[in-house]
Amino acid sequence: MFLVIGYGNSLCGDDGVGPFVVEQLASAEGEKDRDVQFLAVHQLTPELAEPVSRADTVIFVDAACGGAPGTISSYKFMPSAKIPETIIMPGALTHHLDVRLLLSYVHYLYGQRPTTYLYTIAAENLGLGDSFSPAVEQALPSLLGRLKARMTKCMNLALPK
Amino acid sequence: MSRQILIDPVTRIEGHSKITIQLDDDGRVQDAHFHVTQMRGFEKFVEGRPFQEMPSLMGRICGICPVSHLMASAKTCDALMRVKIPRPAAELRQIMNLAQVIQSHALSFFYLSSPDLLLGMDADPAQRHLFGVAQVDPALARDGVRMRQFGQQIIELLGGKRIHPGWVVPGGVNEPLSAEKRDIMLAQIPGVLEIALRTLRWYKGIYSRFDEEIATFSNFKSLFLGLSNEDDTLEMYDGKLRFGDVDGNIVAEVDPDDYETVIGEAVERDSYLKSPYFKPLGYPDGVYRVGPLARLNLAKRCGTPLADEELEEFRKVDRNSSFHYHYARLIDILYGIEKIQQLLNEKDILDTRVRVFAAPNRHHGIGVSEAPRGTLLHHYEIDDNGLMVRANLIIATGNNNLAMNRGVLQVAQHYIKGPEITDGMLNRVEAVIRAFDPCLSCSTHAIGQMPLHIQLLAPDGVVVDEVKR
Repeated sequence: MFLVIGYGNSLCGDDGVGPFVVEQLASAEGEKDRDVQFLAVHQLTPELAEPVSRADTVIFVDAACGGAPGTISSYKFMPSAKIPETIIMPGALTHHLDVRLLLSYVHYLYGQRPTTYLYTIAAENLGLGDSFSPAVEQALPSLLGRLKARMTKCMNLALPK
Repeated sequence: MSRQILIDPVTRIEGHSKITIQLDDDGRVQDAHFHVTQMRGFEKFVEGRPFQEMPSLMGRICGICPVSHLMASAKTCDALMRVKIPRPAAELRQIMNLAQVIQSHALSFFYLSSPDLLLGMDADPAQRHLFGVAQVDPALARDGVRMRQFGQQIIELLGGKRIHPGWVVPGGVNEPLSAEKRDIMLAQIPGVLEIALRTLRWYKGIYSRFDEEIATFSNFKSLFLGLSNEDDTLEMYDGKLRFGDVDGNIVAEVDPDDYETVIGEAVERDSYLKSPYFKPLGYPDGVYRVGPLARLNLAKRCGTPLADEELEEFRKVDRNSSFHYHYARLIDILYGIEKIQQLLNEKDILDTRVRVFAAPNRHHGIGVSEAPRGTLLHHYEIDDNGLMVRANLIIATGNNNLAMNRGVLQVAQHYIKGPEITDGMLNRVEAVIRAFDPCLSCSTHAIGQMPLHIQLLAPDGVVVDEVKR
């Protein structure tokens, strides 16, 4: 199973780019008979561990702080069972996680290590509002193209030889 | 020299708060207070808006329990229109409300409190969290994930999305239930029932390790408040406001329209959280508790077979102790699952007549429901054009404010010995608050985070020591 998760607040300007992009992909992929699931969420929560554990490949899409606005970056995660110590703070980890912590949680609970990619787009405006900054708006077609290419590549790899 | 301890922020709760503990010259606890430090002022900024907007606006108070505010708000709008909504609509609303209770209780029990219960109050704070539980007992953690997922999926199936669904509207709901969705929900019931029973067995096996906490966590006689019905069964959606004691003896029972005859609201200068009190006893003596513990203390029976069996056992524990909110929360979950199953099997549940329409027919309306944390009341006043003139919200967490403050003092006086703050002490002061599962975003209608800050103050108010995390 292929899982795409876009996360962020759609009422905080560029922060909503993750859910927006995933909704675009979902409507484009809607008619195709592929084993792919799209999730547009506010934030990464512990419950996502279950669908992530069922996926062979997961792509996360998020806005990022820093860098020239509209810059697209991608990362491949090597899941580690070791939790980054700097992130473990009493009181944290109850309402939301980051990608590394979520992957660790998946490993602890389900023993799974899906292949994982994170795509980010550098934000310019994270203030209240439901529209994107010009830089992010301009970069959206490129981000969608890269995500589609990644999905196609991963799905082709997963096809039986 | 007397000193003050400040816990700021309090962790593993929903919202932002701090605790101050005042020590005397001999290092003994003299006083303690729970302060809620943020506000958003929904009651004020909704003035002038059309009353029909209230369910969607009020639902935005909180990302954890938006459904609870949707329910109370829609019911208040029903009252303004003077309508009785179709029976299937009321049943569907109840299903969503119960799903909300289940997912919220799962968050409280499995994510926020299970680190204390599984690993111990004195466990290393670097391990005492969600991941610590996942390492020590991954099956328990998986059960938590599944239970919360179940509640959220039902909300999503009914309302179209997990957070802030717009499906509950004045006059009913805006879409009937399909047979396909009903069957998806019913198919999940056996699995989550098993989780609920398994978790209850686990809790009953470990709570005796916490005898000292049970004896000191807000353990005192007080009134309890909850909704009541004619059958004296557990009521989560409608009915009268009932005040009673730990054995369910009724002290007062009124129609929600008359809530101001029994509930007064006090304001403290050091907190944005209001302090409702039982009016006949005055402030601050009129302390009462709401939520799972109150509901089970007031109901004669739950009204579903498995929850009724558990209630019998529950009656054997010290039900004046707020530590057993945890226990009651699990029975609430069990009841919620059974009740959802009952409602989904009602013969009219797929009926397509699920909404009525009307103009406003009253200038004021009151709506109540049981939120996960207890009784929730919305009161609106509108003008001739249906525009909001006044809103008053009495939130579950606010109802518990006086009891939480007494609990913080009780725990602090029991555990704090001498001037040095140990982590175990600090954690217990937080844990008594955590047992109530306060939702501070709701209760102050505020956005919040979950940090912790304890301050040790001298009698003259000078901060002598401070712990932040």
